Amino acid sequence: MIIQLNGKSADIPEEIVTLQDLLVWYGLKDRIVIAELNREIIDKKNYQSTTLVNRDILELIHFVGGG
Amino acid sequence: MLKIGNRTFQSRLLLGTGKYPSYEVQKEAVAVSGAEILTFAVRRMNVFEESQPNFLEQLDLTKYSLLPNTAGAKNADEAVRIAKLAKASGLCDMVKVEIIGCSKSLLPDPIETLKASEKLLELGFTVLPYTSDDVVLARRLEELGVHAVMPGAAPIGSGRGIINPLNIRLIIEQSAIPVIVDAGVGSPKDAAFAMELGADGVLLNTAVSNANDPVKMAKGMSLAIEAGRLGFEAGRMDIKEYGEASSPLSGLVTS
Repeated sequence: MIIQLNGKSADIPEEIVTLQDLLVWYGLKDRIVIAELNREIIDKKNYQSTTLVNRDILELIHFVGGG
Repeated sequence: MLKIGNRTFQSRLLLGTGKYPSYEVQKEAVAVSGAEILTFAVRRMNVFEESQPNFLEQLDLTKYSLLPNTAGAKNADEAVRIAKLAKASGLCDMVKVEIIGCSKSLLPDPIETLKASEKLLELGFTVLPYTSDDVVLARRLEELGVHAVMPGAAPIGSGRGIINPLNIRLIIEQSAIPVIVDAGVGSPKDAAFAMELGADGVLLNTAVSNANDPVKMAKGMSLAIEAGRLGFEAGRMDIKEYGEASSPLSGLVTS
């Protein structure tokens, strides 16, 4: 499936079904990460039950240095 | 002691975490600064490249309170979106409202800042708006219920020091909430001056991160803020037109 990930088109392998799968795939499972799917923030406890579909718009957000 | 919302802090220095020459220098600068509140920006992860060490993820979060900013927002809606994302981390409920209204001077947009602050208060955030040094705007923000006002000393990253000390003093005089001088501080002298004017705290980033020795500057800022605060609490002497001898005028050896 093709999703829009952080503003870029990303081809996601078939075995990735949930948001949790995707985070594992990108090695982000244990990182401080905030997920916004189609402009809605997804609660951490729902990562496993959130299914990704073609053309989803996903933002994976974190904190960086700033003033 | 600095009280913001329902939290209290020993340190009156709030430190930014951007633009340090290295991760190691940053870590040490933060440690020696004594700061308990650290600001961060909210950004997309670079998921397509090898991950770099993330400063926040190495921090002992029991020792620090996070103050995410809404930098990058151009209006109230964008700022609210960024603030919500930050809060969803579960790591913070404070937010520095930062909405830039002028890309050259980086001065804040007062109208959007007011709107965003109102919305974020409704949503239950602890709201610290970064504002211009406008006295009436600071009052209007306080009337909304913000938890601190953060007037700028000078444009962000300019290091020019307090351009309008009269306005800063007037804001301090009228405010029942903490006043934190944010942005434009360049040297310990500026930080001490802000505190002598009666500010409750100083938020700075570039003055430390862009110093030749950021660790030493972090310590210098920390001492300056403490010195300025003590000076304010002590109450300075009156300024006089002419000299006044410190030594007795009686019992002169030469008379």
